Amino acid sequence: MKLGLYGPPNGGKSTLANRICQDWLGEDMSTVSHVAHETREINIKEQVSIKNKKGKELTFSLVDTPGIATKIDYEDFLKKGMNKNAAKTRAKEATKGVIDAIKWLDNMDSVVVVLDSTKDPYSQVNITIIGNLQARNIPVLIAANKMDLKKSNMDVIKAAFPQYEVVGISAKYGKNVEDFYEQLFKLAK
Amino acid sequence: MVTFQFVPFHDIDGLSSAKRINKLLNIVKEDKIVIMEGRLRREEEADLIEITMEEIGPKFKGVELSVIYPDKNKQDLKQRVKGTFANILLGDRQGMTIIGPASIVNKIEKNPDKIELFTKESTKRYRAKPKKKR
Repeated sequence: MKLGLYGPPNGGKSTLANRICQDWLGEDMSTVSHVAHETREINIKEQVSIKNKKGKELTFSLVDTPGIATKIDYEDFLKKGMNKNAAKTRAKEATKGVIDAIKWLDNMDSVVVVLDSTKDPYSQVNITIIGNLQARNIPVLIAANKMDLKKSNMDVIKAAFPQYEVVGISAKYGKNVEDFYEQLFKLAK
Repeated sequence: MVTFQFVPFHDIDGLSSAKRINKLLNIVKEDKIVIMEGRLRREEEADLIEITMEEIGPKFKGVELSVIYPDKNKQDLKQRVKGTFANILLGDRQGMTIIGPASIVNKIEKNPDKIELFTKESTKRYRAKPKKKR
């Protein structure tokens, strides 16, 4: 089973990928950064096995994807302290990453959409990703990440996507990840 | 000055997906904000993002996109049946799609029935506004 992590940039997909891999394999999978578009290529970790409280095992290939965006401006990276060449290269790679992430939608068996629960969930990128997964009949779980932050608003995320299971987590601090793993079992059914 | 261009659904109705997207993107690349009657198909919305990414360069930074669509959960049975028949006969003309160039439109907020469009200039002015002294 291929389990994809999808969502907008800086939602915490790679942090969640690392959390899963640390918890079950004892190693990191992706690099993370506060600068958007750190993940610009599809990363795959094969044979990730997780166990639930009943001792049931679920094995999947974890696919960490670049954040999907509708705009990429190298000047945004300059503001984060990068030099012009590095910023332009990052922007170019990021655009390719978005294209790859969309192309890979067809390869997924299940998808966790990772959203930043401190941000407006009604962005068209979120709606487009989830709408496309629905059109392809791919099961979806929404991980409302960054629940440790004060601005986090789980109710807004749940209200925005009432037809989907939403689980609040903090991938960075491991908060509520047990619930998240339980939901993965339901997703894979 | 910001220019809006209205695109009626019949303008794109007979076009292939690629031609629809190119038509809309060509307007956006002229620094105009597209207000389209109806919406693209879900796959076309993903294609729009893909093609936008392919076209990003020194002069084109991407788009801001938003779709307002009637919430089917808020419609009664009669409205839903009417909407379904209208879609079959005339195409998906319900709702409205807004696509603006990222160089002009900073963000589009949907709340969820209201759309607020923030241009780069208005955001700058908002940020520059001094706080009132008490």
